[in-house]
Amino acid sequence: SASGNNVLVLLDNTAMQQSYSLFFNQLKDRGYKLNFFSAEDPSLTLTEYGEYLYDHLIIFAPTVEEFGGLVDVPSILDFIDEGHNVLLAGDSTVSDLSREIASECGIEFDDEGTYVLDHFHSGQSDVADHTTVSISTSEDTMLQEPVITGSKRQSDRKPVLFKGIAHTIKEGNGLNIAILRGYDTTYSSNPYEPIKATSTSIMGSNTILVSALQARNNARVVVSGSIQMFSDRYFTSSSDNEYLTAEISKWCFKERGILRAHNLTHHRIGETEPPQMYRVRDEITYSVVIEEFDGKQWVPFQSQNVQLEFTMLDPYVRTFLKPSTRGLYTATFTVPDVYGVYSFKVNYHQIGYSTLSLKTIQSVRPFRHDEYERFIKTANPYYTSCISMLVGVFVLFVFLLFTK
Amino acid sequence: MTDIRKLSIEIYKKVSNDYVQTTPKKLKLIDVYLFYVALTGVIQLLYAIRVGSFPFNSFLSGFISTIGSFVLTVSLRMHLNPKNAEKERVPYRPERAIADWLFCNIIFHFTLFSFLG
Repeated sequence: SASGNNVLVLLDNTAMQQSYSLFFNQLKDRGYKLNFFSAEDPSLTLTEYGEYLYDHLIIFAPTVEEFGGLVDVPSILDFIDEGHNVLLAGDSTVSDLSREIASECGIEFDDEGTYVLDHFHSGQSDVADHTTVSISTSEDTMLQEPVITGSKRQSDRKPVLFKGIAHTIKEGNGLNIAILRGYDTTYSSNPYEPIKATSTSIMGSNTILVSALQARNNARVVVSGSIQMFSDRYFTSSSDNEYLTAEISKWCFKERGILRAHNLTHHRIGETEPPQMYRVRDEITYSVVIEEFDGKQWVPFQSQNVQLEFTMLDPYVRTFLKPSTRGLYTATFTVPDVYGVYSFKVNYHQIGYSTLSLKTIQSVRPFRHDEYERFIKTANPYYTSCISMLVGVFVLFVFLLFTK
Repeated sequence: MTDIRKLSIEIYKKVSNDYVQTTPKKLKLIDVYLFYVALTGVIQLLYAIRVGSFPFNSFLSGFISTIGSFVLTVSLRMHLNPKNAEKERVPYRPERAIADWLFCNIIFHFTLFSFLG
């Protein structure tokens, strides 16, 4: 991972290490150091002497009412504020503790005791209980962003099994991303009580099963309403759970979709160093190297839509940065006619990628008095008239001397 | 009608004949020069009206060079006419006149060239 390999895993009970062994083993295979604790363990702590002991947090403890030790909701929220990542799984019996953490991330779980139900897409063909839902990985139910959900083709994927609670997010706020949602026939309700008019408020495509938050500091929180989605039983039933949970965890723990920029340079065409101030109507080029983390190392990032703005209160110039194969992005433009203090801004937001925000301030001066053109073409007649007058004076003088 | 026309043609013919026969060669030379200066000024003015007087300082400089040269040369012509010297009862000094005219022109054009840009 790009941000460390220490993971704290909080479990309802330590027996879950066995029932979720396939998921944890594939995390270990990717190089993570997993520290398993019961969620009520009194020796729990996230920090020691002011430094975080862990880089990532997995909370597989939906029924726990209060974490043990020094871990509680404020400390977990601080953990996220410091840029670390959390993977939270809930259940139909999700406790207020997990609700509070999720709610701070913009995720609202449905009432306790409710399940995601879908009578048309049941995951268990032999049981009449439709609380296990089988969700296909097509574009109406799964987010089609390979950065988050993996690059396997849709035709190679099997449906995903899910049994748990629904939640809602405010889509369109730019930070919450819905990864897996229900069909039009999916709804959320308590299956053991008679249906009333107020039984269900979450239904259709608004039933979010797995969602994520990428905070403004690029911390990633993935919330799944079904802890059983990660279980060995579901991995071994014919389903795509193993692949999808692996891919989502890769994104969540910052193995993918992380960008960084360096070697930011700008200068006039033909020079290598920028002057203290640019002048209006200079031709300048801006270049930056953008790299992406592919799980093991930084590789050049390829994208056609990285934009550069040359801004002084309003963007005077807005162009695309052209990529090259080595990840070097360049743009060439002419400084506008207005002088002042400008800034070069690159703000790159793409679903699943960390935000890239670069800002460099640069002054632009007007022409010096000797940088204007020396002779103006339209004034040629006036130049010739003055000169010809003077020449005429001398010619007439000579003639006057030599005539009687 | 025809009387006025005839009269004006007669006047024009008499004036132009008198001019050609009675003016000395020197003064005729200066008159040709004056016509050239006036023509340059008119051409410049037409150009500025058509194209615009963008470098206004240059336009002023060029135009005023023609006007100033015209004025100075007219005064030179007055000094070089012997009949004027008789009438005003002033000594006839053509060399002094030419020297003055040359000096004034040089200073005048010096100023204009610095304003020309």
